Amino acid sequence: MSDSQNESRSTEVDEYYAKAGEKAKVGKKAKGSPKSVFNEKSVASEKSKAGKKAVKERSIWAWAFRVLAGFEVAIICLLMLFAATFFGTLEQTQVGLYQTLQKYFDMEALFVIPELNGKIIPLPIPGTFWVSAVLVVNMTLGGLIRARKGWKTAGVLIAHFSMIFLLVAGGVSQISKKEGVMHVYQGDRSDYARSYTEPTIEIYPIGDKGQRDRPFVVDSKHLTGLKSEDSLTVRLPEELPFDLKVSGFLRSSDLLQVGRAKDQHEGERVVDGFFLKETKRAQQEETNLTGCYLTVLDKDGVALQEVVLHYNGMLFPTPVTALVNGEKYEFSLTRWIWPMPFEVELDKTLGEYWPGTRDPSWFQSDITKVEGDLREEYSIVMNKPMRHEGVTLYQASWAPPAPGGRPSSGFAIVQNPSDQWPKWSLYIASFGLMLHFGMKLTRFLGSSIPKKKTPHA
Amino acid sequence: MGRVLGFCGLIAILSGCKQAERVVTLTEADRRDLVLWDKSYPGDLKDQAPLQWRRVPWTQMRYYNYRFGPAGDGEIWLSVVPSRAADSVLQNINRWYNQFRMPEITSLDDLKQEPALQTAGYLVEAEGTYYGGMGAEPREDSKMLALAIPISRNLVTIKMVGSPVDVETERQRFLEYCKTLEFSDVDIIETPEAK
Repeated sequence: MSDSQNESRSTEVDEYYAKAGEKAKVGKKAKGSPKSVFNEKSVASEKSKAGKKAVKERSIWAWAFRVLAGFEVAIICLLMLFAATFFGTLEQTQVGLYQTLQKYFDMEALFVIPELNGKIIPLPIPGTFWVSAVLVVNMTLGGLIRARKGWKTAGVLIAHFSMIFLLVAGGVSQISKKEGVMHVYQGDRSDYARSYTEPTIEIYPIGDKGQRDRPFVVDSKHLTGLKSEDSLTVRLPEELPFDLKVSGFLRSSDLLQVGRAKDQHEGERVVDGFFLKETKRAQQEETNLTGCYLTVLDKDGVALQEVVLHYNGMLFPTPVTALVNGEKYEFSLTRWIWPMPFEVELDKTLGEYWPGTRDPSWFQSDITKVEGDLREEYSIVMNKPMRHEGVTLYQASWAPPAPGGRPSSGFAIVQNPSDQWPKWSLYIASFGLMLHFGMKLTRFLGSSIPKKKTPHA
Repeated sequence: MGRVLGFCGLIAILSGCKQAERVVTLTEADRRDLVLWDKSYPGDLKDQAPLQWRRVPWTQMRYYNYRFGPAGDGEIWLSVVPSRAADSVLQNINRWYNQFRMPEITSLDDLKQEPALQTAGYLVEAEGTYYGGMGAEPREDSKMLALAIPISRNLVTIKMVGSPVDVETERQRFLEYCKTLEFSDVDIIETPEAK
């Protein structure tokens, strides 16, 4: 947004009014013409109505265009983003980053009520995702479409485009970014990533030889907002002879055995001798252990069996089983798992901690990326990730070998189509601003240098 | 201005309302492809339990937890503990006898052996009141059937505790289950020779 918006008022919007005025004049001329062979009054009246309607429709669009492209909307959006960032930053110190991002920046957050020190701030703020969307529209209409085009404004237009590009990158990231972790021991391989935070329920049909078949996955978006008093009915395809009901969902819980923790049992539901005890939700979301109860229902909704599920952070599935119509099924509450487009073999990993601490001073992993028959070797070190077709592997953690064991590496996995867009948008912004200020400077210097006086003829 | 504020307020109220009962329908598109995660097992120890046993949540120290019997109160679990001392198998078995307040043994020679994990495990039986410890109430009229399998520096133990009738009913399945155990390291890098 800049002076170019103000300078460009005589554009399409004003042309609408001009054209609409001329049409109205034409209508008036027709009304007064004595040569018309038709019922002039009615024709003129209809034309006038149609003209007014067209003018009205156009004026509504023109009004919408003018409002959406205006400075007022831009300023309101920026103020809202400032408020969300201000309260989000304060709230983040109390509830953690994950919850704050979910509350303020998620697509599902339409309005947010800030809460500080347990007190509600009576100031509803629109969710930042949607404010940013409005800002993109505003900048596109006002900063690109309505702005005056020419060499003089080229730099500003480029800078505007870069800001739109940056906001779009944020939106794409919000919608399609996958972030997780891959733990591999030296000498092992892995072909999947697991989310740090997003819970999913997986349902495995079991094959004839006891092997797991491709699991059905209850996506985290269905579980994220669930509260302990809510329930979620999961309708499964006809090939499975049952449906499921998720209840008592706890984002942070301990799984206790009633026989061994009687003093902690305060009326919670007990299934198979286990109960879920709600614990204080930690600020670091990845440390929270999710739990829920699952009721297996027949297709008429009659309860067949109840099981309790608990995420325990292990590097292998620990499902529970249920027998339905003589067939075994496994159910697992885990973090969202997704297959990687390639396999990673950890050939060697080395690391060091700062003396007397558990803070890594340096670590390195030599890996082989296996994609079909193609094998490529990479060396991943701190701040030097491996990038491949939109997938980035960062060395996020390292663990020394346990006695008699092997060291292991934790790779942070980021799959984000807009991963590099912010960087490019900053390059574009830099170029645009340099061009703009360079041209201004050139003009200024050009006008400041006294011109040589030409001798009078 | 008033209308705008009213509209904003309405959206804020509506966005706060959430359905207590939600329904989601899964289709074939909601299936995930199998990855190495799905083929891995606790401690790379794969088992194959009979249909009559129901696996319940994993707990620390226990790789597998099962329930059995008509009332579902019989318990079976598999643990792996380090076995550093030479007599750690004997120590563990005596601990199990102590849980039934039975006299300790001094030698493993009199115990029956059963094949498991390509070696032989010691079969232990005890009956009476079971003192499970760890804060659990004693269980009267119980029976235990257990197998202790020394493997390298570890001791793999499988214990079944329930009413004497239920344990006897499951005896054969228990022994068959022990035979299904196998080590399965699916995520190890395959060398060209292994391929």
